[in-house]
Amino acid sequence: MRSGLSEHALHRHVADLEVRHGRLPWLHPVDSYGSEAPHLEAVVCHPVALRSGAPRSAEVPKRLVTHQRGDDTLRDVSDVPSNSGGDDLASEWRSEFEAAARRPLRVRFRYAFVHTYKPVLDDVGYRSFDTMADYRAWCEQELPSWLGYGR
Amino acid sequence: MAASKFEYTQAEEIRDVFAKHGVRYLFLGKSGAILLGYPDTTQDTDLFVDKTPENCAALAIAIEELGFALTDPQRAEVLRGKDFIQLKDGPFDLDLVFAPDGIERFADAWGRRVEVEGFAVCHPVDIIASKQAANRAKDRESLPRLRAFLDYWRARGGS
Repeated sequence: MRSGLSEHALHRHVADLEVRHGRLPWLHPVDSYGSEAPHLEAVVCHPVALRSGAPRSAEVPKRLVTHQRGDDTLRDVSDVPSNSGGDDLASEWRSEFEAAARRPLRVRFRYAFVHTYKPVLDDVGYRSFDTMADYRAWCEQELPSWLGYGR
Repeated sequence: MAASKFEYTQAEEIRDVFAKHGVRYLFLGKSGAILLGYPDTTQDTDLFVDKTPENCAALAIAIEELGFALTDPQRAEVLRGKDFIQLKDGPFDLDLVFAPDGIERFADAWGRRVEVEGFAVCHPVDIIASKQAANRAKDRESLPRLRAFLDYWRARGGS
């Protein structure tokens, strides 16, 4: 018998993960096929953005529009505190780069490319623009700002 | 949108089919950075393609061979190298970029390219330059980490 999403390993271990790593950002159901899912991009790419002790200069990633599990609204989590401490940003990134360098390309691929629905952007099979400026203007005008394609 | 995420085997297909037809291309954007070892996630596969008529003709054949069905008007747009073409109805999502922000000429980027397991990839300096010029919220967010990666990549022997 196939197990339901709630019995999925990831969902079973949410409480443990959040105790260990702090609050996890979640994708809103509108962005993940109607059910909540951990925002892997936010977790994998920008864990430091969730840290309360991390430096907050203009250079630090600021925007992480995501969703709090069980909450029906979207919000910016860049100011959400976490209990995961405040290591140096550069050394954290360096250890991520080193970990990636130890993996073969085929393995990096498996975890690097994700597949989620992006409203508007994914709604047609083909589009083209005469200039990049036209494309950027279209993104500004047509895409939800939280996708991050705006300037 | 495509039925599934971009897989390594599909990247190999791009590499092999493009080589077979002599298409000059470079992986650009985050997908390019990932090929260079940058740990991150993305949905997009961006290819910077040389805009010469011969290359566009070869490209049209190659992408159809990869499983992207083009209508006649769409094929005509590929043949004339429209600056930005987004294909979302094929085996994977693919952006064809003929004039990326921040990179003046394909030949320059080609001269600086990095080869990774046979994949032609933009130099990280070009990837950063294009993101800097695009200046979208998502680009601004990723730039500090990309710059740190460039330093790391150079320290490991990248030139």
